[in-house]
Amino acid sequence: MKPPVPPPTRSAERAAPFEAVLGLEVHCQLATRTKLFCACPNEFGAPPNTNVCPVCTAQPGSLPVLNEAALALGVRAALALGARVAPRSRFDRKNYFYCDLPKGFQTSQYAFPLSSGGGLALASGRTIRLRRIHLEEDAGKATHDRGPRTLVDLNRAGVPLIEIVSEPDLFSSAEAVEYLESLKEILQYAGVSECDMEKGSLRCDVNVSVRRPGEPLRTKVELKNLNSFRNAALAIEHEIERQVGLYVQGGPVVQETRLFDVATEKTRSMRSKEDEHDYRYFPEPDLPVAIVGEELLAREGARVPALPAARRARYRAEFGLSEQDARVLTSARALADYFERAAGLADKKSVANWVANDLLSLLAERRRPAQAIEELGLDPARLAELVLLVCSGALGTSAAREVLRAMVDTGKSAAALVGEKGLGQVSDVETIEGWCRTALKGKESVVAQVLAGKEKAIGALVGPVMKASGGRANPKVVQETLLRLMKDERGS
Amino acid sequence: MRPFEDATAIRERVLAGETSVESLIARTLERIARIDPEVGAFRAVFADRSLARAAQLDRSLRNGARPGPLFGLPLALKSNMCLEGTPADCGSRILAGWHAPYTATFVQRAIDAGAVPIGTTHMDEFAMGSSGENSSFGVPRNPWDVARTCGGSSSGAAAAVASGMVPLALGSDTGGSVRQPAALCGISGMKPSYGRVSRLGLVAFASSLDQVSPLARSARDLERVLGAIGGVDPRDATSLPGPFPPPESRRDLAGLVLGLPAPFFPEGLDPEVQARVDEAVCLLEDLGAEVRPVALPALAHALATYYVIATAEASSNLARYAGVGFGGRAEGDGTLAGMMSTTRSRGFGDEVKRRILLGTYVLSSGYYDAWYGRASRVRAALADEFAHAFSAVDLLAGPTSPTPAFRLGERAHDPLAMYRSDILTVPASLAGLPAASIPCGLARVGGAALPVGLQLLGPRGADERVLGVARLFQEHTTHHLAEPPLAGDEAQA
Amino acid sequence: MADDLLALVRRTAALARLEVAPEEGARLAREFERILDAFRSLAEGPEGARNAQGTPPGPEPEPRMRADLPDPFPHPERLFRAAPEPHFGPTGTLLGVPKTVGDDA
Repeated sequence: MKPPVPPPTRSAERAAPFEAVLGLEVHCQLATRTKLFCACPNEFGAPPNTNVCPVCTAQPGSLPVLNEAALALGVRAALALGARVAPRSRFDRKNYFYCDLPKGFQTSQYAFPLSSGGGLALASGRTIRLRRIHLEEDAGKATHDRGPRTLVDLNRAGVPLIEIVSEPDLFSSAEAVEYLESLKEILQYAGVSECDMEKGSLRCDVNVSVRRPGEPLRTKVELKNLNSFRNAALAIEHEIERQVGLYVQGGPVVQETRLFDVATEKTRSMRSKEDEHDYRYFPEPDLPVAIVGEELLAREGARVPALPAARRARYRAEFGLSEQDARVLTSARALADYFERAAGLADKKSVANWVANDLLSLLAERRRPAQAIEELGLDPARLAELVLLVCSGALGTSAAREVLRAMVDTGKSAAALVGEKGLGQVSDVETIEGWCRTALKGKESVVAQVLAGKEKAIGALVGPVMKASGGRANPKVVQETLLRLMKDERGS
Repeated sequence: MRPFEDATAIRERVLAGETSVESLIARTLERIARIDPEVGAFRAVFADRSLARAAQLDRSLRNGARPGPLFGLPLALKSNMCLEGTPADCGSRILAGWHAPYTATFVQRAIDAGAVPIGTTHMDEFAMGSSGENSSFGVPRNPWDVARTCGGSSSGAAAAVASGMVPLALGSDTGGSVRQPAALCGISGMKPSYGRVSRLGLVAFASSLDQVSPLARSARDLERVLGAIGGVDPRDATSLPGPFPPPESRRDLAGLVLGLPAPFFPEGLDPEVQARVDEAVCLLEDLGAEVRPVALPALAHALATYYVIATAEASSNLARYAGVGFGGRAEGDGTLAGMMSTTRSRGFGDEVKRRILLGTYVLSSGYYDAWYGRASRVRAALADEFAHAFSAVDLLAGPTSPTPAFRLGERAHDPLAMYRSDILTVPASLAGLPAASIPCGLARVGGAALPVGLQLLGPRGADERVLGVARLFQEHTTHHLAEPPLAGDEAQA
Repeated sequence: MADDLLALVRRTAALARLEVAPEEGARLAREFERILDAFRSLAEGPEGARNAQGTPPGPEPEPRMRADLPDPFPHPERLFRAAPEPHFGPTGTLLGVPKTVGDDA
């Protein structure tokens, strides 16, 4: 039944502008070792049709058996998102024909999903409510662009997914992107999924409708084939414009599925008969009810870590870090965990600096992402040790950078390396005085400038002292010493 | 050769050294070659493979290996069972030439117990039928009267055992597909409680109803086979925990209460069938059983319930046969949907198409609740009635089939008439109860003598009780020893 | 009425990817009607509390799950030896089907 369309009148322009209403359905591949119903490896990028078996290729006589880790991760995701986990949930068959669906049905959950409710907070403070989360198996992959035939690879068939359905609580493409980024962050943190859109472990469909404020919801259009956050935003924006345009012209918006065309950056209709949507759901007779008991709930609840938004708030409030720094440090769970361990042992702001700048640089050099921080092999306590040396003045900053690199390369401690390389910062006043006196020779004009009030001129003298000391002189002491000597000279 | 000996006796003779397995298999293959042209039970015969296996078994025995419960026994497999590398076309053109890429759990267990798979038997296409006439490859004839059907869908399996070509066969029973042919062919057949035998490797027709079910010449053989192949399978999530229950011994039936449900004697019951079953019940009373009438009003709706649920599940289970990954393909109009439709329409026979349509309809939007939803609830009511009945009785008894074997072609053009052949067997399938059919005499029909089957049902899980009573019955009767008048045998005599 | 039924049969057949030739359609519709009529008595049947899924009511088996341990199928090539249209590539086999019209991935 189509919703009433406001008649086009000139007052349409003067009437309240349209608002958009969006609901998102996000599919996430779970980070299990095997598929949902068979023991084939769950891995991306294997040669086609190699991670397959009689079950996921739907051979006659094959039967599914539920992967306990998939159920556990689904529970964990639900808990991380504040949803109510159902103690009993049920698998149903969703029947339709397609070349990438070997059984001719997808085993999913329809009537009794894994969880209901839950929500995600946006920065604005508004919470996007979740309707439900359920488990289901992924389909294979059909490729259309090589030659005259469609080619099917079943490696992905049977990979475990959770589908997260939001209420239509989002109102703009920016909110949608924020929602997606937040969801991705939380699920990565919880170890539920890699949420990598490029590898297909995160996919999203959007339901878009528009209306004038205060009206009931109008017809919604489903957008599919959104393979990046950017494309999702573009698709949503284009679709909102399209629908508003249609209503303004007096035409109806047809309920349909539209695909995002990357080339034109527009959505286009996907022609499919209405019957295609009669999935004839019925309970999956090959699988018993999925039961989540107290033990499983408690175990997975304990595995939900402190989530990124909460951590950032803590870093800002307790450690005095900026939002910017907090974001960098929480960009991956492993990085945040690492930072927190080191920050417990040395000055938090300094540690933050070293982790956010120097350690991430080292990772970037190795072309490794933030979550691979453990690969540096640098124990947080050792980093803390280095930071302590710098803060106490025993080691200069640039020397410390050298030491850090060497720590990662050799695995030795800061103290050992400082000793080996003789990189200890020199703060000894007598030694520094010697260098300063040498630097002051013949520099009467500079001295005069400094004493006249032009303090910056001292830089011309600090440089040579640092050089003479091989970079090891404590800059603060150098400056103090130079000033003292200059004043003494004048005095004498 | 004693072609109508039961498997237990044959095995004893093998172990006693009276015959080698190889010579037993060779004689089996000879008999098949001589008798099967008349009966038409076999779809494929594994001559080389079975002789090689037989030789292997003889060697193992000589080397002191402990012989398993099915040691040396020739075993026929219905064409819907996976044995790696062998054909399993399920009686359908759409799977013609398809060879199983893996072996079913229950087949492997039979092999591990020493059985020798002899070949595959004809069946109604995808197990849909009650006469064997829905096969794309061959219709077996009843060894008691070759103008009549064997019943179905395990037609060939029943014919193979009934004609003494093999002592054991594995069939599948979804709504009576082993019990009914067993009754019509004068042999013993048992559908275990749902979940007692793994379904992994049985090509699915209706998942909540299918069960692998043996056919044999005696109840003690049924016990032997089920003990070997039954028990929990981690690869079948619907299999019941624990092993198949061990056999139960009884000297008589004192203390056993036998219920006779009234609707088990519907209008269409042949009077000769009624007479034979009455006589059997009298014998059970003589053995000490107490007989009581039992009311099961939901039985009136069992047939409709069964066909709604079974066709719904079948429409889904058969969706994989669409010309993509395996099986036949017809290109059609050049689109994917067209290829699938043409492939399926050319590959499936009429009955399969009819059931897929019915099943699709009862699940479709707007009709689900009135049909599938309703049928599920009636199914639950039926199971409740049975459970209630079993609080007062230990076992239920009645005829397996309303009539003896019917003529070829008699019901083939009347789907409803064909469906009604199952009226007495579907209830046990719907409730997941263990149910056996054993011979209880012959019915005089025209000039012919046709077998009649007695059906025994037990509470869910009480498989050993059903088998124990069946075995006791056979210790006091000779109906199961009757031999069909095969032309091939008469010629030899 | 008969037309409605025929249309129903055609729609159902399309859903099930089955072709119905014209003569077949009329016959199927008649059979459908007879069968559905015979089964309409279902509406008068007693109703029990159905269990969550379709298996025969009774004690539910313990929920049977599988540990998350890879166990690759040792002979994947067996799964494709009966493929109607295998495309053998340098890295593996793909299954070929007609390219669909107006459909997405």
